[in-house]
Amino acid sequence: MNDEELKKLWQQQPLREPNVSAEQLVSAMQKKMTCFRRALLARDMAELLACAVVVIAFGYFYIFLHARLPISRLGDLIVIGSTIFVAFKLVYAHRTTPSAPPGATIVESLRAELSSVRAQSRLLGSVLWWYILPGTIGLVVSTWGNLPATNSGGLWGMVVIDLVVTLMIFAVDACVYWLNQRARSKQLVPLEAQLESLLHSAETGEPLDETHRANLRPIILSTAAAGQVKPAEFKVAFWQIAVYGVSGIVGIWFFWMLDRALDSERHARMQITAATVVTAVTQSFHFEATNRYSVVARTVIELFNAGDYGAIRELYNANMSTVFPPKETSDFYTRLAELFGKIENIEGPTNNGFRGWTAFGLHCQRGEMTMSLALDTEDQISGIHFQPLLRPAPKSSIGSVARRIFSWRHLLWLPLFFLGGLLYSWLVQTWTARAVGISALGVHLSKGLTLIFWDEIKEVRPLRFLNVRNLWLIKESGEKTLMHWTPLERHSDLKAAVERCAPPDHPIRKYLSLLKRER
Amino acid sequence: LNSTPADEQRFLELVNENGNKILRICRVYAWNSADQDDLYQEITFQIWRGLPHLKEKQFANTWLYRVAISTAISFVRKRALRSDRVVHVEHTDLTRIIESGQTTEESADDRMANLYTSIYKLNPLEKALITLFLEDLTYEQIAEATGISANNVGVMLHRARKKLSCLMKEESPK
Repeated sequence: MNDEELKKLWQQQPLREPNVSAEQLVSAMQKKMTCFRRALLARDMAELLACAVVVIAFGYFYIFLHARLPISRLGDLIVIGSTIFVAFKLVYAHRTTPSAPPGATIVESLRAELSSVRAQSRLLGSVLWWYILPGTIGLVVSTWGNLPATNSGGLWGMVVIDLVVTLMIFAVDACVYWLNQRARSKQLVPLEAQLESLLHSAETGEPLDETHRANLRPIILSTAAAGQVKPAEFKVAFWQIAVYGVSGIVGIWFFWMLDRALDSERHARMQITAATVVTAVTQSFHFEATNRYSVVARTVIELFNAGDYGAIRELYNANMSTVFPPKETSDFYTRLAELFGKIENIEGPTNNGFRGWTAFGLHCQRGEMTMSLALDTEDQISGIHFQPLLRPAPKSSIGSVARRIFSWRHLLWLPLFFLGGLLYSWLVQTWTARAVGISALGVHLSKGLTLIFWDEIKEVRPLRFLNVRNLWLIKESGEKTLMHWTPLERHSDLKAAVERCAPPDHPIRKYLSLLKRER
Repeated sequence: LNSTPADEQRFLELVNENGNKILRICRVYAWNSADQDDLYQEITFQIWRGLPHLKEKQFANTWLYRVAISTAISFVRKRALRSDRVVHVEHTDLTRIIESGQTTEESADDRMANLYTSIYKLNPLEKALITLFLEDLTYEQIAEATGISANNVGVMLHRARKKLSCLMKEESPK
């Protein structure tokens, strides 16, 4: 065929006429334009929303959990700052590398696309420095920063907890780093090379680099195969995802509530000190005979053991009563009683108490503490300070922590988390639709975009994770690809598809027995 | 950015007049009908977006090719990027697919099928140049549509035509 015949053949080819009216076309374009604008907005909003969630969470920690040491709270600020920086960097990268406008030439489009891919590649390449490291520093400072506040009895326990948390942070970081580098090397670097090659060819007229042409062929194959082969497709069964998804989300609830339970205990202990600091401001110094103090101290202890906290407050002078309203006073002594139990014995007085006040050693059911007292001229309490000497005995703490974890307030959250787990599982299942396809050509993965031919698969090996078995499809070159197997739905259909399509002696057939029979 | 009735009218005229050209380009870059429909919609959308900015109406024809080809190349690359790994295959595998999969309804004509199969094996730039050549554009118009200099268009098109001719000869006995 000469050129003219070829052109004639080309221009006279029969074509499917798109069956849309002018109104439908205009309406479709208007809708698409709206979606396009929303998508642009949503892209930035998604990043800003993620940023807002982290800022709100750590802002909450910073503002409301002020019982922690300043260095720990500094960690919160570092996390907030790094999150804002990450959001800025992502939005800035999007804004500075826009796609070519409609009507741009191929060369202009390639340039714009190359610029965008290079920016993404740079971001992923340096993800450790701008994304992972600042946040990690903040989290580590926040975690370890509170360690000095732990008393010597619980120090090692807290060191172990902090160590576990830190290792988890590092593990997540390593995973994020690996995923980003993998995406960069598998997708962006080849794409960058391909675009560079195309651009170079377009600008100089030189032939396209052969190595990059090889990268283009699989695209052809995938598209062609997708059009001509109809694989039997399977998604991951909902219950398989839900077993792990719901457990995971409910597990988050459990650890959150555990943290709250432990935190409330720590918080209560910290508040004992906090309350007395305020008390110190209101006291006036009067050092009298120690018997005055002994009388008042014994009265306080009797009332404390009787649980009559209102009567203790009546011993306060006017300033103290103003600073500590009845409810706050009652809450304070209730927490003290919960932590230490009844006071069994009293020692003293000595004059080495808080700020030189008169002090008494108190032996309680669950530990010891020092009570420092300041009285005014009318023997009314103008300052009172409790300093724990020992950690509350852990004997009762397991039961009390368990009761706190499963308190009705915490249990109210459980159904929400359970539903959240179901929703998460449903979303994951939606994403794994068309997880695996089986056709006469081979195994289709990644929603049909990847195809591995039957004869390319030289070996099949199962990979077991608890009750889930996936298959490694191994090529002669040793390249391994993971394929869902037992988590897939419709096992009988899957078996039938493999039996129908796979060659008779194919290694995948050995694993058909792993698929459960369906009733 | 809201379209005026005049813009809408202009858009409809342009799409109606050039619908077949767009469809042919879609067939070059996407083989299965679902992808062709997606690509057709994407190209018409890019025309819709860009048309209000097109000042000189006499260049609408070249401009339309420019939009269609750029969109198609980008469309194919984005589709490919969605797959997290690629399948490395040789020509024989592709041939096997084509032989086993049969040709699409529109490619019933053997020569047409041969032409498409051969075009499909070209790289995106060669595809663009051959498509525009088959659409009967001059070198200058092709240069304007692609952004490649007229001299380079000549060189690259010559090479692409030669390659297409070889590929068609390879395919023709089948």
